[in-house]
Amino acid sequence: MKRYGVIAALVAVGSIAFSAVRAEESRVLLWGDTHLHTKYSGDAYALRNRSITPDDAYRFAKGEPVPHAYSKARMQLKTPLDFLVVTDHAEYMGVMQMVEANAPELQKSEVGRILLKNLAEGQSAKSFFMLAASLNRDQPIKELLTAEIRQPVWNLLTEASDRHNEPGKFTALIGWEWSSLPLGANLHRIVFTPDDGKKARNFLPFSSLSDNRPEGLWNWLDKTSAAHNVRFVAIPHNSNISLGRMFSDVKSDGTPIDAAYAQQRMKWEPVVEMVQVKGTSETHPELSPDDPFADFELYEKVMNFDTKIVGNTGVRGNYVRDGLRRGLEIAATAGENPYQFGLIGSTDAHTGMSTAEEDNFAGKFPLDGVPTTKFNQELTPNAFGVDMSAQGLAAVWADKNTREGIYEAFRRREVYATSGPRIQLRFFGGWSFAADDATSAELADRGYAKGVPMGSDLPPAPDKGAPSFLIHAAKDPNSGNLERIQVVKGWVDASGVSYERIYDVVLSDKRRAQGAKITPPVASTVNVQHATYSNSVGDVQLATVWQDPDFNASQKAFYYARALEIKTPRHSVYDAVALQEPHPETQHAEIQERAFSSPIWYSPR
Amino acid sequence: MRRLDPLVILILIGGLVFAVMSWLVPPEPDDREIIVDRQALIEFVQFRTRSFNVSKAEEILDAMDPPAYAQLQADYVDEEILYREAQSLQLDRSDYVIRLRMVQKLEFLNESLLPQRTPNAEDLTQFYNDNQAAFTDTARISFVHMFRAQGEIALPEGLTPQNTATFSDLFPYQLSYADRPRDLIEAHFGADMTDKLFAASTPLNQWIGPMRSLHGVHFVMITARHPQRLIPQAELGDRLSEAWQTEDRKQRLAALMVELRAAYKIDFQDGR
Repeated sequence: MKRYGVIAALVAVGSIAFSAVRAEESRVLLWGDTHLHTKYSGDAYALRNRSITPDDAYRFAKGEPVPHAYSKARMQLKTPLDFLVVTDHAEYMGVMQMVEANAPELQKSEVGRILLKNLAEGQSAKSFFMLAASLNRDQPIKELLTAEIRQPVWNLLTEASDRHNEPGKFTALIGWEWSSLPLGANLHRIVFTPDDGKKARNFLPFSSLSDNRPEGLWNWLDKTSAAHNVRFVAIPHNSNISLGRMFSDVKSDGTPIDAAYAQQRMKWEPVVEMVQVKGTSETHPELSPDDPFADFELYEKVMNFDTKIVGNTGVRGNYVRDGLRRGLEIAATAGENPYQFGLIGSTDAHTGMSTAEEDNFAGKFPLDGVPTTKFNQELTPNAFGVDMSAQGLAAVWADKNTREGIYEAFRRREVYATSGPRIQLRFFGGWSFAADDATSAELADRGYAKGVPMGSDLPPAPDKGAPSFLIHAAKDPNSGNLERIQVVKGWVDASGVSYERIYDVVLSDKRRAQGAKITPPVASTVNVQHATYSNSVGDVQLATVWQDPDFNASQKAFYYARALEIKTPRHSVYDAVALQEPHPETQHAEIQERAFSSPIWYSPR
Repeated sequence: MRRLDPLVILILIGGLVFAVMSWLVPPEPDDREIIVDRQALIEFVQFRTRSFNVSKAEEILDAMDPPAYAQLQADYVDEEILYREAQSLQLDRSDYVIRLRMVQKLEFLNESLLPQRTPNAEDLTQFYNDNQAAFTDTARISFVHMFRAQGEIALPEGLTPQNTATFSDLFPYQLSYADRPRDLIEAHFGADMTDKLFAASTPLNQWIGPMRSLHGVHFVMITARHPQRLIPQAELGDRLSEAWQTEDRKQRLAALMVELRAAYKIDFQDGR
């Protein structure tokens, strides 16, 4: 509760003090969640979120205690967030359900039609409908069936966001989820805008009921941004259950991806949500057999509510690393890369509570937010609370904590993903980094001065030499120590075939990194019987300058950094201990939490 | 005039709708007769496409070729028959999905039925006094520091707030903090050093130290410090009335539930 208010005067004093010394670091690190549902999402409501409103969600993110929708226990974040986007499903917002339930009924009978007519003419029944659904009386009757009934919820969401937005201190952004699910293929996108509610109320959130093709969404974004002078970012998520369609080599109509498709996609989708409660979509052991850390919080429960479609998760098109590789392959023929995106995590929690901590996890839905229901309540086909992951978060290197600052960071892809812990990660690419840049207190300044930050294209290569990367990670003060930093490289050869390779670049506990020869993890300190671990191994921070030993100046490539923690207990271990039951073998009990930078791309001159 | 309470409004509206319905509703059609008119088909298309734009549904309907149209008619009739049969078997009676759906609709109705109230000055002051914890701002601080990971340090010659990096080892987090809350400082430096930084006796705008943190030794210059404080009511503006309205709504919804409950005789027979 103590974080409730902000005072203009205090902010003013703060910023004077600020300028009297120097700005904080060149860019500040902000932590947030761009994907959170409240009770206004139909599925959230059905699985026991009857109470958490957008206001509650924002208050919780700011650090206030809020009662859990199902257990009613008091929940509170250990460390508040810096920003939040509440993103209820456009398809199932509470009022949509009122429309679905009521409007055809009204039209079915003469009575219904007269009541609607009365409504428009200001007669007695009008007040009932005005009150019942907050209908807007200025619209023609037919329109009332859509806009007037959806509008109140959209108003409520946008107003709550504006109300909780405190520039410089906490940023609330307006957004929704476009939830396309053709034949069980998850093609979902989050859409957010840095603009305010006044602009956002010029349109209604676009739903997949109007068009379930991503191209249809982008067309709508093109049209709406032009009509109302409003900006958007769309963020795909859960490629892991997209049945190979999220990073496909064909368009929705089955024809090969061309330059126009790539340009439109990259215009609207600069970033992918790779880590969330329904698993990590980085890669799969079948796709990356040489990556010993690929088996991390995988989720393979395709959301098909009619038939039990099996997996299909090992195939191409489902995972981000493969998507980044395929982007290089497509660019070789189509001339444009449709998959040159940055990476973030977010929760996709339906509890209204953005929790990504293993020991403080409110569940995917309220229903699986307590130990007794986590292991035995089916949530979506074949998926139980224990299958969900307590992750992730979006980290943003922004000039300031405002809607504008965050939007700009997404646009330049200077953002990254974590599986929940607030691991600070810097990743700069350039041609002239020196070893002592990684030990300097001016590391960040040197990174910006001598190179480019995560999300960028490398500047043109000099005549000889290989790119080097200045990398720094600092542990989350409330989580496990760091165990290693790796660089993941992908490239494409002259025949258009792509490859990947993982390098250890710096290890904890004075171990020496062996590059492409991956060192096994340090010994685990996890005690599964008591759900504890110890920071007696691992380091508080790791930093290095790494130069690509296998660089070929004629091949397009991407590089991203992956920082791993020491092993810590998974969320389900805490519940198993609480119940004094053995941890189920279907999930790992010990996990290595991690951060993934957005990539840096290299293109030959 | 005293405002009508929500339960009364609900009952009045129910009565009104009932009256209008009884007056206007045509006699019940025969249970065994299914009328397939254009209106019914348009609604059917609307449900199927999950789009409630009537003109779009009309377009779809009008664009149908004869076989598609016949199929739609047949589907409509089949669905209507199955629905009526299911109804006559009372299959809706113990269906939890239907039950939840109705509960949700009524809850939404209840919320919509409560018009927003505007608090007067007295309400606001009372609310402010009762909820001071909600209007208390956390302690915040602005400072720069120089950092050495190991050993003892003396204050370097020429150290300024702008050049701390020149004299520092790589610090895991930041060398400069602007208007940051106490929790964050404690996470980065540990409780002992944070206590010292926030102590009222620690002077501003001069180098202080050496101080020991979780990570090493520091010299610090604090440029601003704001203790935890209750925000004066005058500074809160709309925030206070919005908080009042949110709470007021919650309380009235809870009261409505109590009133509704009072209209029922609830007999616990579960033996506990």
